[in-house]
Amino acid sequence: MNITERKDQKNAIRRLESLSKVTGSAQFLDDLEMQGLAYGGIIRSPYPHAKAVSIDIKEAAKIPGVLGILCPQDVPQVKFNCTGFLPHDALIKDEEILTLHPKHEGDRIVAIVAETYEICKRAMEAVKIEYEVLPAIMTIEEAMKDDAPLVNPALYDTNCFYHKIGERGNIEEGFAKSDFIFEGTYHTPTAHPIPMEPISCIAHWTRDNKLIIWANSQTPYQDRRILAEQFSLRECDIILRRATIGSGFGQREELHNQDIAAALSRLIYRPVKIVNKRDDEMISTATRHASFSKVKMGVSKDGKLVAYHHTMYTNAGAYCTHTPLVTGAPDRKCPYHMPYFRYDGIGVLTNGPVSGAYRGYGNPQVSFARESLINDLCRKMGWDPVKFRYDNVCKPGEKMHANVTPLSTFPADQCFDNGLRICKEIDQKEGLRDDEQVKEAWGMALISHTSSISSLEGLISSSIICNPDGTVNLMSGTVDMGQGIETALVQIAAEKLGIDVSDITHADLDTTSSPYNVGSFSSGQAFLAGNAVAFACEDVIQKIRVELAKFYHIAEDQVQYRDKKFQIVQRGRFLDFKEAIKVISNRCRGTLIMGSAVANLVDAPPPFCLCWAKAAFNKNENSVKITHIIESVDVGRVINPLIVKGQLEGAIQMGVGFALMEDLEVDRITKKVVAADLLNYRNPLILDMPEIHLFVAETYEPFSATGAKSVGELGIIPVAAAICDAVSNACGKEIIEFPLSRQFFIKNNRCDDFFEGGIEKC
Amino acid sequence: MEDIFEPICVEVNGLVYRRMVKTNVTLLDFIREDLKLKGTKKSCDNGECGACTVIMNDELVYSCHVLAVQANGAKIVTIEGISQDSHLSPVQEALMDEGAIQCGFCTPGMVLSIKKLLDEYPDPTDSQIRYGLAGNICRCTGYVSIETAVKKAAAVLRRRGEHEYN
Repeated sequence: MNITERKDQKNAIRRLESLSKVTGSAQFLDDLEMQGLAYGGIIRSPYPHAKAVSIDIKEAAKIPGVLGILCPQDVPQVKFNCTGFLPHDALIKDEEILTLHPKHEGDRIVAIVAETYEICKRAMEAVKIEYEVLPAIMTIEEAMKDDAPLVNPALYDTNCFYHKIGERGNIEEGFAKSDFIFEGTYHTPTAHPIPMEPISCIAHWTRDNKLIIWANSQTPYQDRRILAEQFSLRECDIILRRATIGSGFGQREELHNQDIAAALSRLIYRPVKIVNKRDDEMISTATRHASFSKVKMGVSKDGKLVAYHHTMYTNAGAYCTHTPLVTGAPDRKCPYHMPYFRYDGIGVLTNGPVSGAYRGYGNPQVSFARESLINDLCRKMGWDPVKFRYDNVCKPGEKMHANVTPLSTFPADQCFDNGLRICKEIDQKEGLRDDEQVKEAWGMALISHTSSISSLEGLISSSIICNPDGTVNLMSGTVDMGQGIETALVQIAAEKLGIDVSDITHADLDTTSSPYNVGSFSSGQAFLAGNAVAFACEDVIQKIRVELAKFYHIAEDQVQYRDKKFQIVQRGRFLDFKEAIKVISNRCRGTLIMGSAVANLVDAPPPFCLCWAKAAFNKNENSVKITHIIESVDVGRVINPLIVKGQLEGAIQMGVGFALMEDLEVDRITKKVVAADLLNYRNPLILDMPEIHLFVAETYEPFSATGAKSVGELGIIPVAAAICDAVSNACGKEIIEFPLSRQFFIKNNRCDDFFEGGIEKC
Repeated sequence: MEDIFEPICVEVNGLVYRRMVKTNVTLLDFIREDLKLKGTKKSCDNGECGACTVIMNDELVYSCHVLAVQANGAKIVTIEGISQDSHLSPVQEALMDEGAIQCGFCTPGMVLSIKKLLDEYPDPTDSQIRYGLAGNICRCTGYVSIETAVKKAAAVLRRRGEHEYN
């Protein structure tokens, strides 16, 4: 169904927190004030690789209002891995809280806390650090040369520190059985998620040695685990609280400055706030791994994929962080069915930009390379790329590589037919230009992702407290960084319990009272936290049945729950949820109903996304303009159409930026990030956006307690491949790397007299 | 460096404030830290993103690019001044109804840009909407729902205007 038509449906409700956001009253982190608040700052390495030979803090310490200064020797000497994921052997602990040996630009060296932000800034300027600048290797190619210096010789004896192999059958046998073999190499650039709210936190080390943290983190329970290790605390001593989060996109699936703020706060027992400046943000926070892929595919002459070998190298930056997971996950997200498959994921250490989690988690890189080769081979063989994909994509009943159970739902016909229908409608309306000056063409890509952590390492709980008047408090431990998950979970609970959304309050996250949640990532909250909430509702319903049976002095099986009503069979009475709770909880001998549940991951059913892009190539200008993007998706059942629509449209925007213009450029001589602001790092503006068309299939995923799969990351993954294919078809050159702004002039949708005529002429 | 203070008098959301401010303080920091109107957001602090947009003397400005002393004598509207009674403005209602608010960090600046656009162009064309909002970065929505919300709010405001006229 057309998702915009679904806006009229009952479940298309306003986001619960949108009222506070639209009036400016929502409290983001930097908006929080508290008694005794002090301001922290971090001095970061200006070089990608150096040694701090001497640090002189004498002058800085003299400045009135400076409360404390921490050098590397003053903080706990504990190595850690910042990744917000369950503890994992592959996640090597190689980071230090502060370091004398910065291995990337922006590595943290000295931290200062002061009465005001201004004094802190002045003190930071007064600290004198002498550096010995060391040679830096920035790219995968440099790091893999035989004579390349080691990035971190103390811990790793090679720069290629991680290698994952995923296999199905003997790949060489597969190529021998193929009629045609195609090969290609592809590059994807470093991309920055640029959440609009800078990374910020407040840490308060109290005099009774409790550590209270407010941070815009997607994984507070993992932050708690890491902080406990760093500061030798117990998890019950660390309290993390919710603030409104100005988006995350995966970047905040790790510990950022909370440890420094905690160490500074421990000096003064006062709350300490650290807010990144925009250039700190661009230089020293997590980005999407740049990648280099070698892809080889064997096909039969009747258009069947026989063998597929993908080798991907990822630029990990200087520390392990998420790299083993980002580099190791993509083979579980291949949408095609083929007898022979091999995936080699290799993580490479460099002194380049810090890498981490960013919407897609390795899948955008792998999908660009895979889909580009498929488009290339279809061009060379004269095959229809839509038909090739339709013939080879996994169908329900087939087992995708590394999935535990066979695919349960994917309405391929719905998705393909409707995507093609929209393409046709656009061309009927606008035509497909092909003349002396301009050639227009379509390109496409197909991907699948995961509904939660694809390695199935997920653990989420949820609890529900029923108030005596029949309203409900829901605690899910989820982090809503702007994707709307709190609203969606409330909708799930309302539906399961047969009450109104307004009868439920989602409790703000607080790790002392909210149940454990592995974290908001892997697009997994709607599926996994949704399951936990649904199970907790079932627990509540079961407990109500037991209590009603006691109240009416009947056997438990005489109380049944049907059509959102409790039926007291013998008495012919029907009670809705609120009436039942009032019967149970409004008597002095009554009781209170609390339900809880834990959800593990048995499988994470893949959602699918087909994407088409229409590009116009102007031969005289060597310019490219993307005019339309279509996404036809299967996300399982839609819980709230407004949220699904918003996630897809936002993801397309990021995909458009990724493919066309986002470029975290590093200067070749100084090896410093040049694009350290939002003018040089170009996020698509409203002018840059093509027209977006969405189709969302109507399905119900039986593996999910709510019927939903996932949507968060899905939309961004195929966009770059589809755009590059469209541009290839329009300009006649094969595109094997992007951003396209390095090869073409990128045109946008501004009106012709934009600068001269101003808005009146538009 | 010696701090230099100057007296200023500004009208913000209809209230007159007289304050001594440091000459190097931006209007953004003045609004957030002195007046404690925290709805105006700081994202880039460098005139690139539009999150700190306010209306000063009927013009849109990036408040991080204006010094507080430059605002002396000015009339300023911030997000807190958009819905002073219990009713939200049609722009705010439309943004919520269309799902145009995700993380919400760009929203206050966006609301002011939309207000200014609709004050001048009650029935904006697609190009005018794009022109009017070209200075506000949103990273979450792809701008689609924002554009729809602008049109919806424009229609409501026009109807309301006709009503008042009659």
